[in-house]
Amino acid sequence: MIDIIPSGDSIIILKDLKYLQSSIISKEIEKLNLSEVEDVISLKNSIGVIFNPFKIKSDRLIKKIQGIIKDHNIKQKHKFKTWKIPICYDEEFAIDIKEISHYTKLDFEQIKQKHLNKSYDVQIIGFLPGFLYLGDIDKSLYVPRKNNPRTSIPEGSVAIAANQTGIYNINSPGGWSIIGKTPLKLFDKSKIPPIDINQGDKIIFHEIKKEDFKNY
Amino acid sequence: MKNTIEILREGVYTSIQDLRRTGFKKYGVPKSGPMDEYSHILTNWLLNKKITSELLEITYYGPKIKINFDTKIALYGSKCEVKLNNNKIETGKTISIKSGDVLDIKKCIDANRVYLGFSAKMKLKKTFNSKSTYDKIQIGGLNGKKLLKNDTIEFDQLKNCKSKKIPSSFMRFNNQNMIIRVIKGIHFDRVNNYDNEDEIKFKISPNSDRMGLRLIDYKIKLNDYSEIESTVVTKGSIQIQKDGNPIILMSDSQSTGGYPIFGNICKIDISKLSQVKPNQKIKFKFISLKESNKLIEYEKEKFKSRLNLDLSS
Repeated sequence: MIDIIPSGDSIIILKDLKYLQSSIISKEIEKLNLSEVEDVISLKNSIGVIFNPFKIKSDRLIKKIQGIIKDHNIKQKHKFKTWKIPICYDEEFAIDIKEISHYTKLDFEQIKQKHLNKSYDVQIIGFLPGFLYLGDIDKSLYVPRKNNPRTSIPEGSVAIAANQTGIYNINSPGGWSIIGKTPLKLFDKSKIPPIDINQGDKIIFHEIKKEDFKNY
Repeated sequence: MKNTIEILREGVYTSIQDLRRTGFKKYGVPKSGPMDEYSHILTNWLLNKKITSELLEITYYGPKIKINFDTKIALYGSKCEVKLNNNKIETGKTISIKSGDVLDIKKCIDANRVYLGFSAKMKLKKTFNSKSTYDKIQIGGLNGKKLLKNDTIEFDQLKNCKSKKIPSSFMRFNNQNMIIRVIKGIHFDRVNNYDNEDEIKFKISPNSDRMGLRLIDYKIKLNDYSEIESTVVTKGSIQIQKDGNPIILMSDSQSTGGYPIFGNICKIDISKLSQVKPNQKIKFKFISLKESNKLIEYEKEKFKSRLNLDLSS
């Protein structure tokens, strides 16, 4: 049985799930369309369910979900897509490339190749609207988060921090180091869902030149 | 003629909010909605509207508004100086408005925010199923932004409603040294300097906003500073930041966090906490989840029996 604990009076957490199993189970919970549930948020190894405590209390919701999520639900295979995302590593966009190079002791070309050479899992979506946490990156590219986060990172920026790379899909402040930029608008507030990429999907970056960026 | 209101002076920060935006946190879009849900719900009650209906959340110093149609309004939340055509009016009750009236909402006195509702319905498009303004990605409200001078809001579906007054048993008093009830968090076992909970006070930092209330004056020390796995958070979650200062997440907060969770404010106390003014002090009192659930049931029963309002709607 899945271990579910309360966190305060308005959240329950499904704990200790296998890597990205959370993506499948969270979809199962959403399918139930429980009116008490406000939001289902899937992380790498856990799920948080935010509910309305005027409608239900955590002990009853825990039982309800434990009763519904059986082993066969979890074993279901979900089809994950692969997305090819164009990226430009030109210094105009890769505003932190010098810092990254200094820290990793790799030259620009090596950094680019190491970033391009892997396919990444979409581990988490969120924190910021549409932000994609992708992992894991090549160990030689590990850089810590900045001590002084930038106050504004342009939409489309691709960044790295520790073992992850990520895509900022809105303009926002942030503490990751910018390695490049994609011309794609992956988060569209006029659409539901606003982003087509799902947790568990795979991302492969392919390089485009600065000249092609504007016409993309 | 169209039913409109016109912003003559914008005030510090006024935004349109309905009670909540749900189902979009998984894309990183917050719940938004009023900081003080309690006052929001009572303002709507004064106008016979659904508890979820949209209204104006007015922060610190309010707007001056010209109302171009006959309607009813109500204000509730912080005490504040309000004038209708230069005559003082009271908050906490329904007020009739004649076309051409000018409403001037000045300084919030004992708290941070006051809510202004209309018996008519605002003609606004929903984004992600809500009219709540979230200006970071410019969604909800009017053009996704706080209200600005010269903005016009259109209304439809004129409803008449009986005039009402907030009963004294529902009036809330905002005072210094407020005691806020908290359920211990999933990382509370990491905290190692919180033995005298009765003596520990926090100050609300002026650097607080709709995203979070920053607490200063007492730094929390941990016995384990190793990284924690990101966890789901919501309005009322108290995180311990790297420098030891806690932050309480509020309406526009993100949905996941990598900081240890000290605790979660009891649902019933989040609204009054939101009204504690910058530089005033609060104290935490720990209660169990069971006790918090009892408070929720009590509140639900009180609203149902005395105001015929269903908080679970």
